[in-house]
Amino acid sequence: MKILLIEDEPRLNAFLKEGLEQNGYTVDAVPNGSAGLEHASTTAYDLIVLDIMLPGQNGFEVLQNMRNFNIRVPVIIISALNSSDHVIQGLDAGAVDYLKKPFDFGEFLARIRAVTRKGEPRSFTKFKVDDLELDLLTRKVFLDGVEVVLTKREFTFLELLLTHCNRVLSKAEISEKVWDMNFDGGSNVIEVHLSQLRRKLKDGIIHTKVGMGYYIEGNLVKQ
Amino acid sequence: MAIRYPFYSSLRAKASALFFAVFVIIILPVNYVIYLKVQSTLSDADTKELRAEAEKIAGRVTLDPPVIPLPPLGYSLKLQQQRELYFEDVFTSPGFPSVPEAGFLLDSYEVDSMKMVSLRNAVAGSTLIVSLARGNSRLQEQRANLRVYLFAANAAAIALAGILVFMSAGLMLRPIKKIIHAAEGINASNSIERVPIPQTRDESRQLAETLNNMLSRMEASIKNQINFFASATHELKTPLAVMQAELSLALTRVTDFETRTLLESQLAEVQRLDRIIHDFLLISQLKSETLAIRPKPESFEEVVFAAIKKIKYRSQERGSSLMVTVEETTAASLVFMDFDKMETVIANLMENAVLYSPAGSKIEVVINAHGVRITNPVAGPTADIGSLTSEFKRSNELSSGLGMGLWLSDKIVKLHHAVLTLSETNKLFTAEIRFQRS
Repeated sequence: MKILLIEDEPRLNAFLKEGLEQNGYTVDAVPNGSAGLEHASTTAYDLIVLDIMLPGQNGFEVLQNMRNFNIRVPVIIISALNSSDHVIQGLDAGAVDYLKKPFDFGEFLARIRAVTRKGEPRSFTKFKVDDLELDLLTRKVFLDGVEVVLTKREFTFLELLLTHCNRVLSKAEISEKVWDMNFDGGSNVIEVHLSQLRRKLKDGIIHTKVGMGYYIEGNLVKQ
Repeated sequence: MAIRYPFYSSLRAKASALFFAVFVIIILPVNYVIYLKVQSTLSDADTKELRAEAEKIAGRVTLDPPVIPLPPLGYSLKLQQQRELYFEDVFTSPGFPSVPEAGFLLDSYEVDSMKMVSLRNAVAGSTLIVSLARGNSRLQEQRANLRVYLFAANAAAIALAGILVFMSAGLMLRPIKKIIHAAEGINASNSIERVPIPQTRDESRQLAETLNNMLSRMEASIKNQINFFASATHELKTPLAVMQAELSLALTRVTDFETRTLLESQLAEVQRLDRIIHDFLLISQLKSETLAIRPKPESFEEVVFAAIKKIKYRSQERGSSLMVTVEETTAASLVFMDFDKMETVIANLMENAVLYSPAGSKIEVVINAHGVRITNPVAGPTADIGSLTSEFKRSNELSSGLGMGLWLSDKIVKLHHAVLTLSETNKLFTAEIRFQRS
């Protein structure tokens, strides 16, 4: 996977490049927007990581120019500008994600994985167990043909359970994959969301294996 | 929030009061004088008419032979002969009023509901006094009518002029009202709209133009401040970004416990610095009134999880565990808030909970439909808990920190029209943010 990194701070540029390369990405790192635009228009990238406060053209202008040149590569903005206004401006300009500096490198990698996963041609986009159907493209869930409205977390939770059908998922695994953190013992976050999910779906879809975790049982059909 | 003053202090009310005062002080006395003049004129005309009738009768009266003409209907006649100081009645019509002798010496005299005039003619060594009287009800009626007309005219004039003054004052002040309305919508944290320029050539236009010039200068100043904050954020956070990237990248490579602990400790300090810088910038924006709150429907749960990530290394370093519980009814409920600002508040409260509780403490974070409650154990009682949200206030003078975190949190919470309460019972310190549910 090929990534273009546009970051003017030399040390950060170097660390991010090094870290990404260590994680198996091919990285072209440039220090300003003009060079970034030149690279983006001549090389096919899978992802562009773009800083905002750049010498010359700022990140928003670079992103706008990319869109004007019909460069449709997903862009993750990394910036120290962390007000809601800047985040909205960045996302409105066409970025797929906005990561506020300073950030954890692990979170940076997770965001990259999330973005590139979306762009990947997935072999399966629909998962169905009995009357329960989950569509990853439309982010919709249907039960007996009727749409069930879920929150973002509930959807991710159900997606995890469905894609790991017939496998018991521990609370630690669920909290790690759905919330990107480990809940301490005593926290009821998973139980509350599970209860909400069970209320929205019908009983008997999500099972509990006492002391071990939760699972969905059935014949999984992937489309 | 627009300031509202009572109506009586408005320019409109003042103009109306001024008009009323002018009317009472000048117009009413003048009208009264006119009333007296008109009344006197009416009375004189009435007297003249009576005198003319009396003269006609007097011309026909003779004493030798005695001829006494009949007065017209409604008139009464009295004839007297005065010799030196003595009055001798010659003739008196029935119904002639009782008049004291002095009354006959006057040109006209009003008694009861009658008016009398007396003429004096010299007749053979004596004076013949011809007195003619008639009822003065017509005059009284004319006077009463005059009073009614004048009162009605004055009352109508006051009412009409008052309404006209009130309306014209309103009309004249309409551009000012528009300016006030437009100015109320001006917020330093938004783009500044100009006030409308009235299509007149008076002081209201001058005021609007002056105000717009001032707003332009203000907007330029705010833009400079915003640019400064953006540059300051970038300059202050970029080195931290380098450090955090370097440390977190290094953390992925090392496996030995000591190095990992060292790196995590450094990461905790980076996070701490990041939060201090963030708080400083927010405080500066609050102080310069350029802090914008952009509320959107957000899940409190998501804000809490984002805040937990902000203090992850700090809580790890202290060995604290954050126990998040969500009340059943809360899941999926949304509250209007600025995610970024509320994340700062909750991270501040959580960091305080981590810092001021004994190492290894369990910190409870309860999310409910109204907000969030953070409870942590404390070593001893917190002094002067009510003033912790004051500027530069620290629970312990020797403790670290700027004493601005709770002040900042309180301000941001108030900007969300929510309430931050701090309390302590049985060595458990609780910070609670409570939103009003609509």
